[in-house]
Amino acid sequence: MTTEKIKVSEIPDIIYKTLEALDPEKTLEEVGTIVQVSDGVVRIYGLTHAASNELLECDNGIKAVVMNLEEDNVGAVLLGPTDMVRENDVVKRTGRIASIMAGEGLLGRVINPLGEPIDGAGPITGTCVPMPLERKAPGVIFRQPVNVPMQTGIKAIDAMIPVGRGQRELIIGDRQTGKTSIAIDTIINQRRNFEEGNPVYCIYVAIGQKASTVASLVNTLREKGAMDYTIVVMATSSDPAAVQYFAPFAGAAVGEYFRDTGRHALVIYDDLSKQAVAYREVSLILHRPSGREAYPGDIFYLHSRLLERAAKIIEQDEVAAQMNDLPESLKDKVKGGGSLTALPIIETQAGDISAYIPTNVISITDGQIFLDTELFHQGNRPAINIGISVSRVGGNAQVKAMKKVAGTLKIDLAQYRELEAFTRFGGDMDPVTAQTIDKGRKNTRLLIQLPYHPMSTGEQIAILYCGTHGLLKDVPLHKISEFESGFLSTLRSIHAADVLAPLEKGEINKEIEKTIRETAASVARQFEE
Amino acid sequence: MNQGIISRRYASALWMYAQKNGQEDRVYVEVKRLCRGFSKYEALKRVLSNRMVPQEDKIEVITLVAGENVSHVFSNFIRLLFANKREKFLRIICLSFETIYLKENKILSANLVTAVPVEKDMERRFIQSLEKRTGYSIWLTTQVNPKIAGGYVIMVDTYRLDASVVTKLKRIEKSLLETAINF
Ligand SMILES: Nc1ncnc2c1ncn2[C@@H]1O[C@H](COP(=O)(O)OP(=O)(O)OP(=O)(O)O)[C@@H](O)[C@H]1O
Ligand SMILES: [Mg+2]
Repeated sequence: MTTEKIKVSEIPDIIYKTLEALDPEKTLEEVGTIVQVSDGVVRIYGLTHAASNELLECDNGIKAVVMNLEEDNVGAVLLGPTDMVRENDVVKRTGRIASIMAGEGLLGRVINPLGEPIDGAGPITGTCVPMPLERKAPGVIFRQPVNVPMQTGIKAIDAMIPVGRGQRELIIGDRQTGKTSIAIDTIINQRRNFEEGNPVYCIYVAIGQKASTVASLVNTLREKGAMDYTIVVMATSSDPAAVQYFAPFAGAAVGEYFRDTGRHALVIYDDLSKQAVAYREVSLILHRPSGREAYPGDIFYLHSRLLERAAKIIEQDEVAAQMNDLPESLKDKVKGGGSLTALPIIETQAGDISAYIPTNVISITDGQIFLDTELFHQGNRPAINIGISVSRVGGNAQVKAMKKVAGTLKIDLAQYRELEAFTRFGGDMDPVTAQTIDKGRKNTRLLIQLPYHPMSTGEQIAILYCGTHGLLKDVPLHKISEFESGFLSTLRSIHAADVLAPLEKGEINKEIEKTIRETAASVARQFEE
Repeated sequence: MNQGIISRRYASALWMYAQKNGQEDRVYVEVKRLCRGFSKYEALKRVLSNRMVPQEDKIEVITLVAGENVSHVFSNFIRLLFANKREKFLRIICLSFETIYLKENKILSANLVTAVPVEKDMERRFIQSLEKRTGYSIWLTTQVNPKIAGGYVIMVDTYRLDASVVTKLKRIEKSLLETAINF
């Protein structure tokens, strides 16, 4: 910092702040004494007026959040290392509900759930406003039905399990089935919106993962230019359980900042199974009663109140301004029409979706994307089990052309799977069956997509049109992906304006269909055997 | 989860039992000594939670810390606590008892920390003004701690007013740092 950089106008600011800090009236604090410290949790005698979720501060600056209010004492979870606090330390109330400072300055940064940067790129700059970690979800009158798509860039999802802005769609599957990749693809796919000046801000919350895993993921996002509009909130497996437990709430709070200022945001919780384990740990130390699988009884409520915060906010600014539980700091900034979409991730054990946490979260969300280990190993990646995956509200958000093209895809595939199982027993095939199977195989092949290669809606519609209209019947199965790239690059080079652009907006007509057919036919000719 | 309720119940019972026997002041002194013992010697807690230490020894240690010749009210209470296996709540029970005692007697405990000793006259005036303002009797303890550099830290009941020089300096440092970030 050089002398020239100091602006004169800022000097009174310093003096004012200093004076205010010196005013003894302002330094009256309510304090309590720590009587017990154990694994990230402290019990404090006193603090009779502390409120639930209030932020507390020890004399050495370590922060804690009130979890249990009891007679004469409170239980609080530490947001710092346990060995930094000792019994008999004095803890004071801050009078503030635990919050995170949110603002545009967070974009491109990696922060911890307290909002502190952990990417070594210096302090967060720009104006930030405090957003409470725990906050009630907006009531029904402030919401609006989901009607704008949240494009993931993944063909199988955008066509058959469409997600809308403001929706909560669960990604669920065993370990190493490509759950994170789907979420990352969705973030990368928002690049176009960002470039068009209509960004969907993305918040990736990493819970209980290894720091190195998250670091390489951040690298991928950076390489793809996705960090321009993305914030990574990270609580690693080596952080205290309480910090891991708070991470999704911090992500939601940052998302709400964008949502309530009329913008669009996407938050990914990767993953809530690990958060549930962290919560169980905290609860056991707090001696809360536990129930099924030793999880505390209110774990359902924990996830439902987190996911309820995803919403599409009503367009009218006047109504949005009345929203319940608006933090003071946002009151003059509220705008309608924003949204927060949530993609929670749950890891299952050996595909068991009837375990406690999976069933809970399935019942809370608006649909699920099931990932299947077997499909993954067969090479059908993304390994989405179409048969049992659903999106209950996203259909309304799908663009018209996609709806038309994808309409029969799901049914066709279901029919194909049934017939294929049947033909495994051998026997002759009639021509119709053979054709259905051929089409099914090729469509399945078309849905295979590499990670980190999201595809624009226009291109998705064009290629899926080929699949569903039998334009691939002369292309051999092993040439499908070559056909796909040949077909799409042709469209990109000569039909960007007359085909891809309208399709992107969801428009389709006879003219466009004709061009698609002709292009497909000419590309297919190269692959005929 | 019920730690607070259980401790509070035992503390209230001890209060009633002491009152009935006209021993509340004596028990208060014993409890207070035990509280100080807990905050002064971390080993006390370790001894009490050690399964290898026989119960009789634990009771003896507690009695010693509470002042050797303890009242029969206090020693009966400790025995009951062990019989009910609630000894791990002892610390919070003591704190709760202290709170009850002070409240019932309309007393506020206060603590004044200064860098240099304060004059007796100053102390008296301080107590008077606090008593006038709160309507409670004030029990003041004083401490000299050169580390606070100057000024004072007052604690009344569960409120703390920190007007020490160290804290002021820390605040100035913090606000300077925060302002610097915005350049
Ligand atoms: N569509 C895909 N095509 C090919 N490989 C993929 C695809 N999606 C994911 N993979 C690969 O599979 C591996 C696991 O992916 P990912 O990390 O997304 O899975 P996960 O379910 O999140 O795993 P974990 O349980 O460890 O969190 C990675 O090496 C990734 O590159
Ligand atoms: Mg993962």
